[in-house]
Order: sequence, then structure tokens, then C-alpha cells
Amino acid sequence: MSFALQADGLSKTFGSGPGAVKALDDFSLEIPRGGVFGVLGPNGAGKSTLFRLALGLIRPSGGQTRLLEAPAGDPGALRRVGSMIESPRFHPYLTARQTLRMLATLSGMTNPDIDGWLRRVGLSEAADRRTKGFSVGMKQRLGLAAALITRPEAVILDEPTSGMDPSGILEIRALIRELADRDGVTVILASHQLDEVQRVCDRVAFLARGKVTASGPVDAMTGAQERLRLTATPQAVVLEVLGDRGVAEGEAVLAEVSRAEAPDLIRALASRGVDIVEARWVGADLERAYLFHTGSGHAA
Amino acid sequence: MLLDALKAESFRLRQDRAAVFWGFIFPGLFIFGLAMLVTVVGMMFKTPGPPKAMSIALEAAQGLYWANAFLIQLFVLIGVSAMFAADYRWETWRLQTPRNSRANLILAKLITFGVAAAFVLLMLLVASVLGALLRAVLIHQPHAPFGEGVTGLQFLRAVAAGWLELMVVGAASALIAVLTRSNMAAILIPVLATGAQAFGLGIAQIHPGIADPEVIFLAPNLAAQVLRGDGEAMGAGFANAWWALASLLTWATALSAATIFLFSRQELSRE
Repeated sequence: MSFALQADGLSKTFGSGPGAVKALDDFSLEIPRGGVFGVLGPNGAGKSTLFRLALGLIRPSGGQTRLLEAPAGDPGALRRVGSMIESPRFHPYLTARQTLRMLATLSGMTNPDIDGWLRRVGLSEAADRRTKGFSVGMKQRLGLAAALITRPEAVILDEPTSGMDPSGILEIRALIRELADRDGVTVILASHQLDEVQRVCDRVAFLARGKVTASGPVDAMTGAQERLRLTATPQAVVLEVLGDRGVAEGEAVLAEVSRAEAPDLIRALASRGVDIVEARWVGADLERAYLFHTGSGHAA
Repeated sequence: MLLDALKAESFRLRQDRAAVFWGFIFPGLFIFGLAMLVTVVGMMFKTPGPPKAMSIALEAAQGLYWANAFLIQLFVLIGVSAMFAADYRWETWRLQTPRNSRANLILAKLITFGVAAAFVLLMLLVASVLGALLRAVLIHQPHAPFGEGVTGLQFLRAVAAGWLELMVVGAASALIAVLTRSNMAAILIPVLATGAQAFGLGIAQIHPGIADPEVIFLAPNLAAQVLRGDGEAMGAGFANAWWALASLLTWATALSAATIFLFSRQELSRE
């Protein structure tokens, strides 16, 4: 298996003495090539630090990072990776077109498809406007085009839809999926929008306090929290049968039972005279998995 | 790789019109304006007798001498800070550093500044010559034969001194920009250093050892004067011009190398 990004025993401390901040602590993660990989965690979990280390913007305090199987900061590997770290910033006196031209030249590209990328990110009409007057959403779009202009094998996107309107979010979500499915680009994505991550990512890793707390395919991460949703009367009897494995959700009850246990539960409820109107499996959404794995709250 | 960085940097700088105008074009316009002012004042307070003949070559060389002027260097530093410190201000390093090596990125800026410094010298020369030609027309000044008043070697020394002095000032500003990440510091600290040298030089001119090789080597401002030939008037012989050349080359190279070294190892957690 080949990897887009590998971190092995990585640690990074900012500052020294009592005020030092440990952003990453013995952090290990392997992100395979292909598909869309989501990196999730609360603010300060270490997502941006991981990306900055991988891109050679900062040096680790310990451990190592590899990008496309080359050491972090390797110019050859970096040329094959696009990136957009935090809110993208540009030279205010350059237009969108000039910005892309300058960045493509810097990467050694002789004939970049500037108009094509401006069109794909929805900036064709603003191509010759200076970035000084761009809104946050427009800067995000240009940041994406800047990351993709060199036709990279992998792209690192930190909050790519931050500050965008709903239609813009949908467009960028579709573009990210298209990059992975049609162009074969590995997309590594950090986002706080869990709904977006669930829709667009194939695999995710949860980060908390500078460590990986869980990692795997999105289905497995949410499926681990799968529950049986019962709409039945009387609800009190259902809750009594389930004990601490059941919780009321409106008129329904969420039951923490496995698929093997489900038939016995249905029979037990029927024998107690419970009328079951509906029974269906619900995968917990990524939000619950996020809260569970990052310790940001309690999985309800 | 370096060529890519050079192309990108020169393209970027050409679009930064404010920096190009104030840093690299305005010095020439300022000298031209000054020449016109001197001409007008000269016409108002005309001295009796025929005017001295005007030598274009001498005027051209004198135009190059302006590279030593405090005010000219201040304007050039505005351009330098826009080249080296603005990427911290705009937080645009993170956009650029993954696309080329850091050494190439900063070296491309230094080379581009070298071209800009040559352009400033050319502007100063042209401004001085144009100013002199206009003055000659206005006050009916006769022309001296071409080349009178300055030898080819003196002219070359003026070119080398002017360019190298601007390179030393520019490299110092680049180093300070990388160290402090501040536009203002990249302008003010080299200006203060130049001012301090000029002040020290003014005091030391009464001292007989002013043109000693070791003093020339340590003070790039003095070295530029010696290389231009001003030093000969202060007792520095032609032999000291080599010391002056070595001093300016060493300072420009050392400051540039330090800038490249520091930037290559710099943490860009926040520009």
C-alpha cells in the first residue's frame, strides 16, 4: 500500500518553559493514497500543525513526517502536492489570474490551465480583479485553484469551504469528490463541518490533544454507533425492557443492541404487549462519533 | 528551479507598482527635480562671467554618486522592504514555500533586487544627465568634449561602488526583514546603520587613520566612497580601492548568505 501522508511518533512543541504548547504528542497516522481523507478534531487538536509539518513550513520537535513517501519538505514531493492551509492569503495587488500565473511559474509550469481552473472554482468573472477586494469565499475558491493549478497527486485542504455560502459549499464539495473520483487526486481534508466530511470523505481520523484517537472508513466510524430506532407503544414498557441500553428520542426509543440481539428484543417486546409501529437501524451521524472520539462532549 | 523562482519574483515585483515607483523609479525623478531646482536657483542668483563648460560624462558619473545619498537609500529601502518583508505581512510565504526551495525563493529576490539596484543607478545617471542637458540649454552653457572630467576607470569605479553599496544596504534590509518579519524594521534599521556610519565618518575625517584598509573593510559606507575615488581626497590611495571593493563584495555576500541561511531554517507557523 502506498501512502500520501505518514506521521510516525511526531511531536511538535511551540515555545519553551512553562508557556510551551504541545501541539502534537507522539502522533502517528497513515493516510493511504486515493480517495478523500478527513482529519477531524476541535480547535487546537493539531490539524494545521500536522499539515504545516508535512509541507515543511515548520520542523518537528521529534518523530518524522513523510509526504508521498518522501521526507517532509522534500522539494520534489512538494511539487506533486497542492495545499491550502488555513485562510488563504494573497498578494493584494495581483489579480486572480496573475496570482495563479505567478504560483504556476514558481512551480516550474510552462503552460498552466489558468482559465480552466478559474472556471472550475467559479471565479471566471473575477479573473482580472485584484484579490484585495475579494470576499472570504472568493479567497477560498482562489486558494483551491492555487492548490490545484499544478495538477497535484495529492492535495491538502484546511477548511476549504470556510466562509462560503451554501451553494458555494455544494460546488466545492462536488469538486472535491470529482478530484478524487475522476482525476485520481488524493484529497486530505480538515473541516469542522461534519456533515460535509460525512458526505465527501471515504476515511477519517479523529484528533484530540495532539493525538489520533480513532481512524478508519467513515462507514465503520459511524456504524460503530449504530442503533435500533423503535417507534412503539407504550414507550415506558420499551424503556423498561431495555434498561440502560435504551434512551427516549421524542416518541421513539433508541436501543443500543446489536443486529443479532434485535429479533430477541422484538419478541420480548411483543410478549409484553408492546405495539411496534416502526423498527429501523440508524447509523449515528459523524457528529456523535466526533464527540465520542474527541472527548468534546458525550455521545448521546 | 532557481530560474522559475526568478521568473515568478520578477513578474510579481512588476505588478507591485507602488513598490516599484517609490523604491526604484522615484529616486531618479527626485534627482531630476533637484537638478531642475538647482538650475532655477542658479539662474536667479547668476554669478558674473561665462558659465563653466558641461561634461556629460562627468554629469553621468556624478549621477551615480547619488547612490550614496541617505535619502536615495531610504527610497530604495521602501522597495526592498516590499520585496522581502511584505510576504510576512500578507502571510503569503505559505503559498509559495511548498512550490520551490526556500533558498531559491530568497535568492531569486536578492537577484531581482540586484537588477532593480542597477535600474536605480541607471535612473540616477539618466536623471543627472537630463538635468545637466536642460540646464545647459537654459543657461546657454557650453559643452565640454565628451569624456572630459572623468576617465573610463573612474566611471567604472563609480558604477561598481554605487551598485555594491545599494546591494549591501538591500541585503542588510533583507536580513532584517527575515529576522524581524517587519516592514518598518527592514527600512529603519538599515537607515539608522547608514546614518550612524555617515556620522562616524564625518567625525573620523579629521582623524589621520580614516583611510586605513581595516577601517575601509569594516565600514561599507566608507568603502563605497573610497571605491568611487572620494577616498583619494581623504588620503586613501588607489591601492585602497581594492580593499574597498573587497569590503563591499564581502558585506554584500555575507549579508545575502545569512539571509538565505536564516530563511531556509525559519519556522513559518505564522508569517
